Amino acid sequence: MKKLFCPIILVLFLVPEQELSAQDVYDELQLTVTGHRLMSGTTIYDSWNALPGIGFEVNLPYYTGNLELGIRYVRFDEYEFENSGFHSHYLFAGWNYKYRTSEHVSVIPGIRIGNTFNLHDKDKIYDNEYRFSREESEISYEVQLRIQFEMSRHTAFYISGAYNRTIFNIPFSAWYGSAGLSAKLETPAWLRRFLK
Amino acid sequence: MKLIKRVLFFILFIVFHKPVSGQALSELVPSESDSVHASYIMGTEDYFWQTGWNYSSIERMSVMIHSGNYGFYGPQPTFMLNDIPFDPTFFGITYSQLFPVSYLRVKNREVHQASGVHEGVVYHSGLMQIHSEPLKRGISIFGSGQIGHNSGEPGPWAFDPESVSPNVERFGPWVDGGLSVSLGNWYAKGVLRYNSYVNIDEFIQTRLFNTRGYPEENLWLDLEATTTLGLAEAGYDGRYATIRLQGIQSESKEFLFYQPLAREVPTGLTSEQYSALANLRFNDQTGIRTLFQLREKATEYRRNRFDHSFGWAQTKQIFRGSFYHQGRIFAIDTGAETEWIETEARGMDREDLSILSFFFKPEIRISEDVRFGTTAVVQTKEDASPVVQSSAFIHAYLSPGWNTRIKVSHEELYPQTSNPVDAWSGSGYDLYMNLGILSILPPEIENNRLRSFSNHHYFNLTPDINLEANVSLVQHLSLNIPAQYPHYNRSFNTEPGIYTIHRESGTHLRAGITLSHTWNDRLAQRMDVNLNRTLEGSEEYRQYQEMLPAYHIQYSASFKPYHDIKLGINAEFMPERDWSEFENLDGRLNRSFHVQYTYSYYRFSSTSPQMINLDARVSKWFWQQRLRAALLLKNLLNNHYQTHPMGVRESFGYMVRLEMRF
Repeated sequence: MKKLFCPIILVLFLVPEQELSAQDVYDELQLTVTGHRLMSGTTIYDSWNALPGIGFEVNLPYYTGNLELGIRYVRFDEYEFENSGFHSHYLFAGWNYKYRTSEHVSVIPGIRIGNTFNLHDKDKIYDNEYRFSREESEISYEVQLRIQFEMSRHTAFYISGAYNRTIFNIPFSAWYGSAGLSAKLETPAWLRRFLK
Repeated sequence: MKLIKRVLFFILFIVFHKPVSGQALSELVPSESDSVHASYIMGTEDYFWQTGWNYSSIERMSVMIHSGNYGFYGPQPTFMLNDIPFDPTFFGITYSQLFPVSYLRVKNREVHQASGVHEGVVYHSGLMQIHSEPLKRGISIFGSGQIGHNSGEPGPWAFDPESVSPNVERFGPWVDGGLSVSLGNWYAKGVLRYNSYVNIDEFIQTRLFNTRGYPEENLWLDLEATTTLGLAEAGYDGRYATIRLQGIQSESKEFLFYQPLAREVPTGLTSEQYSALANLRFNDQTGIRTLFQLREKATEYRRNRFDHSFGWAQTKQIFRGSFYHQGRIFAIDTGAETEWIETEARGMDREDLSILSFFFKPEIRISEDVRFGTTAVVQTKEDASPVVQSSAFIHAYLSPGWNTRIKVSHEELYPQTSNPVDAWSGSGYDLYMNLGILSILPPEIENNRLRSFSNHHYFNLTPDINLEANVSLVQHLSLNIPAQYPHYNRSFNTEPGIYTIHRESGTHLRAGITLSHTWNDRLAQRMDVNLNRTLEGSEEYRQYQEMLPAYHIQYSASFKPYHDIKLGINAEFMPERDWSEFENLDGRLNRSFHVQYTYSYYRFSSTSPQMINLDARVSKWFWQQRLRAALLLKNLLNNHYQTHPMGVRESFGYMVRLEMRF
């Protein structure tokens, strides 16, 4: 594990300064619409069925790497436990770093932290007395590796794999496969001012 | 080892490389609270972090503070905000919710140990002066919202009867707002704070539910604790005068953990404080400080199945006046403070108490490298001999990077200062009877008396590295130690045992090292190591002191890789602590309450567990420093964090805050 961890630290952090100078902070706004599929998961997989999900991400260059905000929506239908189906919304902030492997291909590792908000179909009530709200939320973190193809100066396409863990009392770990289509714009001046 | 080197290399890289943006950093309005040295308060514990004080808390919201000389059950520290004292303490419990300043407005904390006089204010058990950020010129508003909770929510398993678990601790919402107007030398400001907290820890909930529950009526009252606090202040800050008029009001619905009962009393707390401060400066060195305060505090009944209540109200009128001169050779701070205290408590005739204090604090530079100073505080009240708190120090600059201070002190406190509830109880206050506590108290409670010796060394190892080493020897000649050994109760955890006061003597040693380091104004780090040893004393005295950790290590780092982002970590190691008072609970079962949950329990221990705690935080500014988002990740190692045997065993959690200012 240590042998694996050290190169990851190096790859994530030890970036040459020349690469930084290629970026101008917040100057490019990358908007991405994503599609997701739960590939594998622990615990929750036995009782709920995840449908394909969609998401939206905003990515901006920072002094080092990129900052991102996003949301991922996935619907979970119940196999058992009546009315326990839920809509899952993962709202996150993250940081990633882009390595260009060729003119059109980049490898982008990143980390995300956020909150998973679940909205169940109904409240759960035990013995007509103990009510659990249909809204449940818990912190989640995610590690992601993305391969991005630059289709043109203003568009890109990526595929990614992500490991997500939500720290419920019975933690839920999941692997997501995702694909995203991005549009790159010059960041509006008002937004740059806001971000600074 | 290689990994550490690589991480260090990364830090070096970030510290020394220059941002590539063409943005001029000087265009941004710097926030003083954003410096790597500033206190960035996101929770109660941040106020007491690396102060040399220890705290114990049931729910990490309210605290009992051990500031050095009198223990967790002794007098709590004095608190000041921008030179005006305030009192956030009820019956030995200090509430950060009652601090009249928003977390985001705290610029820094200034801590003074033991007893003394600070800017005309006499203190007996440490003093914390909180400085808020200076007001912006013109009209300014700010607001913040904060919320958080611990990990371990049931999630979708709330629907699985076999796996359902209780909801976990919820902090917040905490909402603060403020408005200020600053024109020339005049200013006015208002602050409003609302703090809400639901103690959903499944074990604490057992006793709170049962305390607030009426099963025969199938009635379970709410367990929410809320505080609303408002502050209004207007003033003038000129070259020759500072004038401030300030009013603070607060109302709380709380669960006050009362040590003689060893569990919470649901109670309402109200306080009002009106202050008028006038400081006149004749020149840069000489002036007069005056302060008048009217302070009213009261408890209110909050419904509970035992009808427990404090039934207590107090009005204090305080007037302080002092003269000071801060010359190069000679300095002095001398004056007087008078407190008229009216206490109304159930079963007791109204008590009128007047305490008059004189203080004299001269300091002289004997030579270019040596200063000598003394402090003498004489307190008088009716029907009692005067008591004196005195100290003397000598401060020597031994070499360009090394100076040292030796201090000796002797102090005596009235029981009205150190053990006020017991003093009122002697006058007829029926609190212990109301709470069902059998109390055996001496007919007359003696004064607390101690003497101490301390030696501090300050080293400037390099321009960026400072080292402070200190040792203090405290000899308690007479220390009133409140003691109550609760019995086990399955529904309420405890039943009070006999409450009494032990009058003990003993000697206690404290030593500490603080190493601080700053790098390029981007990285500041500090490590504190504190040791505690009891050298002599009775068994009761040793047990009281052993509630403190034998040693305590705290490390913090604050790092600003870029102007708009700030990262920080707090790491802490604390060994086991023995709370012998709870030995009757050792091994007894503490179980969850709700019938629908999977049965969970742990066994009580009077020994608080060894703890390694790691907190991390990140904050980022937006919109030219008008908007800031902050995230605090608490207890990253997911250990049980527990500072009191009856307190919450907290695991990983987080807090999020959004701040705005214009």
